[in-house]
Amino acid sequence: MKKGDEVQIFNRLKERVANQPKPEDPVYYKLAEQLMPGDKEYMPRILSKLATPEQAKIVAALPDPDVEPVSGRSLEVSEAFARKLGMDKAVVDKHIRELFEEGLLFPTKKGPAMARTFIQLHDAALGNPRYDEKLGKDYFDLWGILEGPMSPPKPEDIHPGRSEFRIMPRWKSVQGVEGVQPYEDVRAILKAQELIVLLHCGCKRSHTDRWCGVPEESCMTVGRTAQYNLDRNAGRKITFEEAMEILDRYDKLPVCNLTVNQRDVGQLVCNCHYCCCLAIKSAEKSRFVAVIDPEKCKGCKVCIERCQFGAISMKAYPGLEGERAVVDPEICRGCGCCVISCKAEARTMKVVRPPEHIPESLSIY
Amino acid sequence: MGLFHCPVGAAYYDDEECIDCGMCYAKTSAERVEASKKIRAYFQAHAARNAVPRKIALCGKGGVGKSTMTALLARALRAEGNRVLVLDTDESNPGLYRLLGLEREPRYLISLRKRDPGAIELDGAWLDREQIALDDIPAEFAAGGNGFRFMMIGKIEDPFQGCACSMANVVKEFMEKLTLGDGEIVVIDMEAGVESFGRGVERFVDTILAVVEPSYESMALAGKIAYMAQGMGIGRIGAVLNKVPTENVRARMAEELGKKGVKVVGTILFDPGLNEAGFEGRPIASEDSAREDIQGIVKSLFE
Repeated sequence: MKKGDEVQIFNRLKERVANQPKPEDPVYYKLAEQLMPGDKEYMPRILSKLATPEQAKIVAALPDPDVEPVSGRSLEVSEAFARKLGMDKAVVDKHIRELFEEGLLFPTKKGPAMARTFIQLHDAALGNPRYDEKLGKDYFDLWGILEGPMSPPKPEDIHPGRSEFRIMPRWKSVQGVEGVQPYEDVRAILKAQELIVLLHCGCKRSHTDRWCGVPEESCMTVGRTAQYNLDRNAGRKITFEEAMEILDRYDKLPVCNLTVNQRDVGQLVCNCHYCCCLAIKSAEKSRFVAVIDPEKCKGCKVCIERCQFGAISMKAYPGLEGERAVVDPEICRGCGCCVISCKAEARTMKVVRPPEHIPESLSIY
Repeated sequence: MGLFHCPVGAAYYDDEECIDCGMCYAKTSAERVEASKKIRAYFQAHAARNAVPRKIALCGKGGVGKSTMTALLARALRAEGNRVLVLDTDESNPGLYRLLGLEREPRYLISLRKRDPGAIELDGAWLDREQIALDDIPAEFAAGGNGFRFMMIGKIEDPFQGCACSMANVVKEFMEKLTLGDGEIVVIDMEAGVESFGRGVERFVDTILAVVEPSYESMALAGKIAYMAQGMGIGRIGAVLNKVPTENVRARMAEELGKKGVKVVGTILFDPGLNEAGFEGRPIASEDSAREDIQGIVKSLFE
């Protein structure tokens, strides 16, 4: 699969799941209504993969009204809860643990509870490959359909001041550039973390026909998110040095580092490509743009291939032989991919936006 | 907005960190606006706060009288018995040391962070400490004495010297590490405008005073300063009105600022003597009429 095949890929996804049976048990439709009101097609099927009918019965009975109030969050249910379901408490506990590891149930103040939104489910229930066999291949296609056809990011996809994500320059592209702030320097961000957990990226897993080439296991979660994933046996703990090595490996791939559009990076550093990631479409530009030295450019066009935003084209410069690359600063989102991939070292990053371009706290007004 | 991208760092809805802002389940733009407000309020409420002001930053549009106000406030705080450090972070305005009655400038703090091979070797070990107390700062970097000292970050002297980001980083580093005890206060003369906010310089400050003159731009900027300071979680934010000609103007300014959510903590009425001192670059005389006004400001800060 390649650039331009997006619609074809989406149609294939739909075809693949079209002939698969829908669950008969009404419990899945009832649960789906809580997560995605009105969807009687895909969400009930997703839930039927995540939970067996017996497990779905447990989920539907939650929250447990008899749960002992605890100070923290827990996965505990009462004896009475199991009795009401006519099940053995040990069996109920085992199911709850499994559903927690899968990402359908979460420990809350009221004991275990189902994901509150389909987004919560999406982020959690695609990240634990230990359950891939139970879930089956359709499961991932179903999520892919819910995300709709992928398409390359366009400049008008950004809503200034309202972006949920921001692009950070690839750290090597801004190494040594004056004025790089700690919250946009991926290396500094990862260095500051106590815990980094490498997770299987849910977006990549739900788009099996993607072509960015980035391994599934590429999502660098930090903070609470990292701990949560460790708790449910998803992801693996990596050191700062390992994280840097992994990022180095992606130097030859067209991927952007994304995070939440605020100063504090408390969740994750993504490695995104539009063939599988929706977030990148509207991701806010970094404070940088790529600048090219046409005299050094050898016209190899690798940068054109790397740029996800279509910001680079070739043109004839007066006094220089042949066609050479030119960056459109209006389209460039400052990801630095072209800078690190330029063998002729004809590119640099330049600060073009003030630090207040990155908000202190995420605000979508 | 996915759960793994939660702005306050929760891993899922009802996780320990979750503040139920609603961002992860907002469906309409109105819901997102509401959620954004909750996030802002959370950031605001969770920043470190001191019971009394220790690190006071004076901000405002260029020419509103930040340096003059810094000098007046520092003197008033010293007169109350505090040990006062005045920090000049304004890269472009050269005269604060004169207003403080000092003969010469101290060595610039930025000189410790310049990697100019030709530069004189300086002992910067004190700046590398995890915590810096007032007494740790060598005399060459802090002019004055007797509980009243003055430091400068640096000045842009030559054209094309580049952006002031590196200076902002030194200010941040120093302010973060500076540990003050009882009766110790630092007063910071910020650079004009709000660029320093973008750089997060004010993060380690507990009090922001916006100096405002009777002009539309100055008042508008004060609103912006207060908004940004709130977003950073700074608890004590107020406006000091300067160059106010009449009581009528004061009332109107206070009303306008009130609409922007900015509380006025004091007023300095237009004082020809003060104006002359600034004009001639000489120290502000203690008998100037502004003294009483500034005492009122100090009082309201410590209330």
